[in-house]
Amino acid sequence: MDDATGIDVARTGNGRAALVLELRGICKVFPGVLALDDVDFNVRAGEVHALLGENGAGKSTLIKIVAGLYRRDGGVMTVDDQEVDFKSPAEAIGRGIKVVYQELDLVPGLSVAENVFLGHYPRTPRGLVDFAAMRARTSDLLRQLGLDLDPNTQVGELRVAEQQLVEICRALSVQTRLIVMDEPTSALSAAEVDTLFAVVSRLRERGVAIIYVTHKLDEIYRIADRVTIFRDGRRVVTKPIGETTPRHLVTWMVGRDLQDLFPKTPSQVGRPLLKVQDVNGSGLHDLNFTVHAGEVVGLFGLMGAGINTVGRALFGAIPRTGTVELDGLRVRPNAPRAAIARGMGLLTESRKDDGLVLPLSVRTNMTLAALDRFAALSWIRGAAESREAAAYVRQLGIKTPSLRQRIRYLSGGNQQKVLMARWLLRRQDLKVLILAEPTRGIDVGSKAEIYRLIGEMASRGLGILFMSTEIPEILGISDRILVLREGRVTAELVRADATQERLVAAAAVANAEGDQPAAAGATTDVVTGAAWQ
Amino acid sequence: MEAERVATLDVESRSVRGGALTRPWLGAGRWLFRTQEGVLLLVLIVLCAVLTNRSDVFASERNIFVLLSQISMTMITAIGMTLLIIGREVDLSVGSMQAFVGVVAMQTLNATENLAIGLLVALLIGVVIGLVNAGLTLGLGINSFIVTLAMFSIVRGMAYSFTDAAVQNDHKLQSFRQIGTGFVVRLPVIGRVPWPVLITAVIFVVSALVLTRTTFGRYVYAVGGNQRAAELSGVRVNLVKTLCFVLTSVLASLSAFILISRLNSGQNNAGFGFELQVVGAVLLGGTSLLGGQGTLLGTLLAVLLLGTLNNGIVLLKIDSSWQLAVNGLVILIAVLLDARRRRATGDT
Repeated sequence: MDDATGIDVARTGNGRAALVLELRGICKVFPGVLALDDVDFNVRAGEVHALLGENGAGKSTLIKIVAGLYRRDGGVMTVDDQEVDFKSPAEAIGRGIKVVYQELDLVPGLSVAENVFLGHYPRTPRGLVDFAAMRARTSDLLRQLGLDLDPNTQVGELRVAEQQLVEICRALSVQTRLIVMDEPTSALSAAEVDTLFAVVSRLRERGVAIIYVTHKLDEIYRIADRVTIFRDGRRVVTKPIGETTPRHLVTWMVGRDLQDLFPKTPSQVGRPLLKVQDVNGSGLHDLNFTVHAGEVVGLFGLMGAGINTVGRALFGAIPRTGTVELDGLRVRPNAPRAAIARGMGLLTESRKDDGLVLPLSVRTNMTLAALDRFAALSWIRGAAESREAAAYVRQLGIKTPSLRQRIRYLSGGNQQKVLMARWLLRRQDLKVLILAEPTRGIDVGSKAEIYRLIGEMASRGLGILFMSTEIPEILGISDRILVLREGRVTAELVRADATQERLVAAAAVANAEGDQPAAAGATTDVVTGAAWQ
Repeated sequence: MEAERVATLDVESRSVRGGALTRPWLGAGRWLFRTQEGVLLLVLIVLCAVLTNRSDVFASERNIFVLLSQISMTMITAIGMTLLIIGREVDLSVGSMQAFVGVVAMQTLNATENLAIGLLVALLIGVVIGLVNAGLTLGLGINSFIVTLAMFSIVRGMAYSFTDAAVQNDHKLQSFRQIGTGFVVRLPVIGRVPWPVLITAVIFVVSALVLTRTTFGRYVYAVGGNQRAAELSGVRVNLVKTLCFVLTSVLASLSAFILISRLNSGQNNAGFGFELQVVGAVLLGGTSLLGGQGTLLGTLLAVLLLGTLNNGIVLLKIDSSWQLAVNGLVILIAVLLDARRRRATGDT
C-alpha cells in the first residue's frame, strides 16, 4: 500500500513549481506514543496538498512541527531548499509559514484589525501604532475575503464562523509562502466555505503553498491537487487527487474496508424513561417529549438552534423551568448531581471545556462519575477500579499505552470513548444517556464504533437522546427524530418518515437572508453522504 | 496491576517499535532525572553530602533534630496547601494565622492551664478562618488569591489588636513545652524522635493516603484539573474545596501551636513571610498553580531541600541575609526546569 510515487511527483518534471516545504524521515515521540514515524511530506508553490487521517494519525503533530511548536526528534525539514530547525513559532512565521488552527487563538477583547495584525502592528514614524493604516489594510483584506465586517468590531462579539475567517485573514496579513489550514471549515456554513475556497484559489494563483487538513472528503475533491494520508503516525500514501476515489481514501484512512457505518438494530421500545414537560429557559421554549427505554431519539438542529442547550438544561447544568421526570421520579433543576443520582448521564459537545480533566490519567478520567462503585467508606479499591477500566479500554478499543497515560496524549476519538466509558461504568444506575454531538471532530473509524455503541446501549434498555447537526448520522441511528429551531421543537418524525429534505425544512430559519436553508450549517459528511457511493 | 498489563496489549506493536522511549512505566533512572520529585531528591542528596563534608556539625543528631523541628511547621501547613493548590485555590492568610492563633492560644493556655483546651481553641480558629476563606471564595465567587490576601491583612490586624506585643507563657505546663522541644522516647527501630517531627510524619502519611487512595483525594485532583467536568460528573465541587480550605487553616493553626511551644510565647509578629515560604515549597515540589497536578512527596522533598539549604547557610557561616534570596533562586530554578520538561513532553 505504501506508495512513494506521489511524493516523487513533486520532484520530477521540469515545469513543476519549486518545493516550498519538504520533510524527510520526520519522527516525533511522546511519552508512550510514537506520534510520527519516519514521515516524508512536501508541498510546492501554488499547490493545495490535502492531509487526511483519523484522529491520532499524526496530522496535528506534523502541523505543530512545521509551525515550530514542537521540535522534531528526527528527520530533515527544508523550507525553500534550506534546512531549518524552528525553535519557536516566531521562527516559522519568519520563514513565511502561517498556521490557521482548529481552535482559534484570537484575543476576544481586541478588535478585528488588532487581531489581524497582532504581533506586527504597523507603526507611525514616531513609533506609535498606526491604527488608521491597520484599519485600512484590514478592510482591504476583509474585502478580498468577501467579508462584510467592521475592522473595529471586538472579536469576542463575532460568531465563531466569522472569527474563523478573521483567523484566515490574519494569515494573509503577512507575506506568506505556506499556509496550513487545520480543519478550517469545521465551523463554517456552506456559503462561507464557498468564500473560503474562492480565497484559497486566489492564493494558489499567487503561488502560495497550502496544506489543507480535513475530515471532509468532498472538500478535498473541490480544492486539493494532491492528498497524503496518515495512519498511526505513518504516511500511508501520497497521490494526485485525480488518481483516487473517496472509497479508497476511507480504506487507506481506516486501514480496513468500512462496510456498514450505521449498524442499526431495531430495538424493543419499552416504558417511558425520560419525560420532559413544558421545559423553558436558557433559550428553550415549551419542550415536551419523551424518551423510552431502548429508544434512540435524535435531536437535530442547525448550528445555533440550541440542541446542546437541551441536554444541559435537562441535566441541570444550566437553568430551566418545567418538569423533567426520570423513570417516574422528578429531577431537581440546576443540580447535575441530582440528575446523575436519578440515572441521567450527559456527554457534552465540548470535550476539553467540561468533559476531560486533562492533567489526569485515562483511568481517573474514566472512573470519575462512578468512583463510589469502587470505594468503601471513601477508600478506593484500586484493583477493582483498574480491572473495570481495563475492561472498557478493551471493549471500546481505546488506544492507550496504559491506564496511567495522561488523557491529554490520547487522540480526540479515544478521549471521547473514555468519556463514554465514564457513563457506561455507571451502568447499574444509568437509565438515560444524553449525547451532545458525540462524533464532533472524530474520525470515521471512531464514528462507526460510537454509532455501534449507541445501538448496543439502546438494546440493553437505555434511553438515548442524541444531538447532532449532521443529517446522515441523525437519519442513520435514530428511532425518532425531533427537529429544533431557535429553541423550539418544529417537527417530530419517526424513522420511516424522516428524510433529509424534511429535516432541513423543519430546521431552517424562516427568514434566512441569502443563505439557502440547506446550507446553513447542516454538514454532510461525505463518508456517510453522497460521495460514499 | 494485572489489569493494566492487559490494557497495554492493544498497542503492543506500537510500543515495541518505539523501543525504550515508549515503555509505559518510568524506570528508576527516568524517575530520578525526569520527574520533579526525582530531581529534588538528587539535589537533596548532593546537598547533604556536601554539607556533611564541609561541616562537622551538619550530620550530628542535635543539628538534624533542630533542622527537622524547624521545618515541621512549614511542612504541616504545606500539606494542606498542597491539597488546596491541587484543587486550584490558594491561601495566603496562613502566615498571619501563625500570629493570631499563637497569641489567642497562649492566652487560653494561661487562663485555663489545660493543654487540650488550648489546642482545641487553636484548631477551632483554624476551622472558622478556613470556612470564612471558603465562603468568600466560593459563595461570592471571588478569586481565593484576593480573598486570602485580604484575610492576610485582617488576621494580622486581629493579632495586633489582641495584644500589642507578645503573650508570655506563665503557666509552666510541662506537656506544652514537650510539643515544641521535647522528645518522644525511643520509637522502635527509628530511635528518638522530636515531637513535632512525629506529628508531621503522622499527618503526612495520613494525608498522602487520603490524597491518593480515597475518593476525596481523587475529587481534589478532578476539581483542580477541570472544575466544570468534575461538577458534571457529580462531584460536589464546593464541598471538596471547602474541605481543602478548612484543612489548610486547621493545619496552619496546628503549626502555630507548635510555634508558640517552641518560642514559649505567642507573638503578634510571628509568621511574617511564612505563607510565601509554604506556597514556594509547594510549587517547588511540582504542584501546579493551574491545579490538578502535584504530590505530597514533592512537597516534602521541597521543604526538606529548602530547610537543609537554610541550615547549610547558617552552618557554613554564609551571610544569612542571603537566605531569602537563595530560597527564591532555588524556586526559580525549579520552575525553569519544570517548564523545560513540559515543553519536551508537549504538556501545556
